[in-house]
Amino acid sequence: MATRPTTGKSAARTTAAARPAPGSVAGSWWQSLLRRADDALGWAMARAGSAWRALIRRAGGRLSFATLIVSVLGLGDAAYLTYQHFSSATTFAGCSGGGTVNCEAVTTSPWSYLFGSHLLPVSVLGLAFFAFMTAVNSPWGWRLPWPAAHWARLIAVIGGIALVLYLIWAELFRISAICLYCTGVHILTFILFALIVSRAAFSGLRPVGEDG
Amino acid sequence: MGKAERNRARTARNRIAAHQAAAARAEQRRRILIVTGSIGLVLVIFVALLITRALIKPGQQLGGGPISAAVARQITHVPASTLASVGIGSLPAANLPIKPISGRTLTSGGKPEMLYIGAEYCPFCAATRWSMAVALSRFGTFGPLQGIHSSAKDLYPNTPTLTFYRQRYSSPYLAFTPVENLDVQKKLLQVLTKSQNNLWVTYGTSQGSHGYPFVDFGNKAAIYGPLYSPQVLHGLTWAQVANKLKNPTDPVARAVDGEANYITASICKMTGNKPSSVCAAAPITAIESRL
Repeated sequence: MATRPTTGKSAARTTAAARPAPGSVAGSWWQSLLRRADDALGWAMARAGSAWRALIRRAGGRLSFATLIVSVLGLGDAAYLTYQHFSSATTFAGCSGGGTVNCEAVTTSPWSYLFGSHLLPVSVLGLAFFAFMTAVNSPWGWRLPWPAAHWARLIAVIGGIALVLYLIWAELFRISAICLYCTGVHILTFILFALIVSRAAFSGLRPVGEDG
Repeated sequence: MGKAERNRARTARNRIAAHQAAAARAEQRRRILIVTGSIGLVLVIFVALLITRALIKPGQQLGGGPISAAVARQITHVPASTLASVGIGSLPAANLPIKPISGRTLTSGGKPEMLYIGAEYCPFCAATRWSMAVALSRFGTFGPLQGIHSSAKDLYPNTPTLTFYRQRYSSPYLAFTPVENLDVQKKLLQVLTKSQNNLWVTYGTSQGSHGYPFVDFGNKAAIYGPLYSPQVLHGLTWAQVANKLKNPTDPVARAVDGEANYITASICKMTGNKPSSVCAAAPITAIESRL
């Protein structure tokens, strides 16, 4: 196991008041402990930093990695909304009913189904959307050699943002209530839209690694 | 190659390089325009929605009035076959704000008492009243019905409904005690008695608060919230709602009649399954067994 060379910095970090008298047994024990702690911290930070850089490299760069993070967050939010839909729960953590912010009013309204059809719950559609996004925004997804996959990602996110605008319209003009968890999904979809459109515009619809 | 020739070649190379740089800059501008344009378009639509919503004034409060005899008859005479066909309709089979309770039997005039606490402004009460009217009609007779609309400034504004303020009702099986606590403007309309308030707090409390609507079925069962969304009634008139109640496939009937069956089953629990012509009917026994 590689260890970082010990420097004099660790000793300098202790204040004079806290430091035991130099030359004493306690003092050398204290300095040794501090050096070890400093070495361990430096080693852990270096490992974490290189792991983080490797992760971003594997994901195909910062932008691609960001799309994966946003997709996973959206997947979690959409999964919670889907669970709430099918469990017919009447309470949402941190989104109690009664005023303009009212998750229950939104998720039990006819607008919680696609175009009020009572066939496809919007939460299920959101879950499917983010599951697809997590797959295509994974390191493997970004490296897929088929252009169709990269077109599908772009088309899906454009469709997603269009649906988000429709749902915001429904919340503002039909239900007169806002659901915080739905708003979370809307914001994440918007961020995903901005990231994917930016990448498509600047790097084209190509797998990562081919765009230099 | 002479000096002049070399200069010409260098100039040509410089011109080509300048052209390429200009083309690259133009391409970069085009890409930036695509990105900012598409993100900007989404933001502009979003801001336009917010501004439009802020500029829209709350809808004018729609008024009330007597329900015509023909419309009242449609509300109070929903065919038993329709109710049987609807079953629980669009309502879920579980996790509804309805529960069995076991307090001292609530009675009035020697009959089991059904206590309703609601408010005229409340859109969820508006939805519940339709179902109560359909269900109670199976056990007794209503006096003239009065139509109102829920508050124009609340959720599901101007939901068409009935009011039970001073509503007359007679039944050989139960006593119906409606209390419309607040009017459409949220002003006090009817004061609760201390015992009514105690029942509301005891059996109507959910997640730390008690709200409208609350229905106590003789302390045998209680409804402590909305069973379906008032959205299904949006934009309809009293006559349109009444007319839809007999069609078992209509979304209005599936919501209103579905809740009416839940209420009927709760009343049967309270009356000891009297009358059997109602309480032994197809969906009621099944729903009652689940309560």
